[in-house]
Amino acid sequence: MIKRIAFISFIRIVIGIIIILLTVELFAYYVSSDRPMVSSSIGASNLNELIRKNRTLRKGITGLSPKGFYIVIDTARNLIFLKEGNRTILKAVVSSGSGNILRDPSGKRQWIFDTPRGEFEVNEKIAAPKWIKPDWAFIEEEEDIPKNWEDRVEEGVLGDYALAFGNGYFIHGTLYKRLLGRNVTHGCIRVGDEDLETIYKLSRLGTKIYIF
Amino acid sequence: MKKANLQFNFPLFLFLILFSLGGSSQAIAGGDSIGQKTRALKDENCLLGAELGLASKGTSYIILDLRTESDSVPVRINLKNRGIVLRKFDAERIRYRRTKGLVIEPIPLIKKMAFFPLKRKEIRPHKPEDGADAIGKLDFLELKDIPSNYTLSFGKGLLISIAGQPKGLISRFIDLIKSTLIHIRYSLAIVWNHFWKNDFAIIEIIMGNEDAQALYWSLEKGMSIVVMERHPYDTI
Repeated sequence: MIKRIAFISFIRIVIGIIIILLTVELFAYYVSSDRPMVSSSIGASNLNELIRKNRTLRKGITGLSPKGFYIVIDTARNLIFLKEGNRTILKAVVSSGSGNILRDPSGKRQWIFDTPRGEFEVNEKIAAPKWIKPDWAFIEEEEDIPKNWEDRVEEGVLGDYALAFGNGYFIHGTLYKRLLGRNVTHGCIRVGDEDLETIYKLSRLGTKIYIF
Repeated sequence: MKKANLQFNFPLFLFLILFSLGGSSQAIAGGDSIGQKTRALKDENCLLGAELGLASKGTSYIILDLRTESDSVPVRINLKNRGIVLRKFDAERIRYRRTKGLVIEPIPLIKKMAFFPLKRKEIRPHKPEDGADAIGKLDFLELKDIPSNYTLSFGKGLLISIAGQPKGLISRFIDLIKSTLIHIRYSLAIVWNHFWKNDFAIIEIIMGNEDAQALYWSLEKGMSIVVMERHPYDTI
């Protein structure tokens, strides 16, 4: 008997809660519907004038898009696209920044290995590039930071070509081909040999790079 | 016995009503065609004007055009830069509610909020090992580490709740309960903000799990969004 009363009370409480929530839902529905959207104030109201304005705006946007070849890098899927207009010339798997953090044991510096996002452009094309190892590369491998510049130079690790896009970031080759498709780099973009060659040959200084 | 059955079914009935109401659209047919065309062009010009401003900056931005929602054409979240589409994210379901219509203008992303936010891994310095072994020990962030359920808080009281579509029956059931609770929470927020006359808009988006994760990864604080609402008087 007590169990039955408890059950009925429980059901009543549940129904009560549901009725309250339904009332809120109905009110929210009423409040959020039937209120017109707000157009911000672009003055023209004449249809022809609006059509003209529409064309001008579309032209303006199209005019901002890159001319010739451009590179798009999707760091979530680790893909690189070489495009021209809406046409995709090449699609390849890459490795991009790991997003990991490295702290200097002294506690004074730290590095976040993200691939930068946004709009960049190719500012240097290098064949047979040499890697000038930055401080973090030595700290990561528990080595002393060399005083001589020559001790920082490492050959062969960046593949056959490199495209610099600012702040020490490059699109370059890799020795670790099995890691293509994964976020493992210190911020650079690693590309397989054949794809890198195509990208290198079709890119010019000033070729736009869009990274997201 | 009969009475007990009725009591059991009533909440279920209310639950179903709640769902059907929440998912219903705001569209009402009507309006003359020239008026509609003028208004549509005016709105589109606002969208293009806002996009032109963003495209000229050279930073990535998002265009969320709710007008494209229909059975055959999904709503697309377009990630763009300089007017070119970098990536399209298809929404499987969208629910949009607000206390007041949004102005068609760029709104900046203030915060990404997730129950299990993305945590960066710290590299422990180590002596280099030989190739294969060293590669096997690498620890790095990957798409699977990224949350698929999160809320994006934009300026002007705009919230976008993203939920990845889970795979598997149990996960889907858990997700249904979770999304119902989230929906109720936002209904309460709508009512609350209506009473306090605050601008508030909530867009609940359900998309593929990987798309949801990739979108989280691609968005950065300060990035702008332009939302093009479907007009309440437009037919779908």
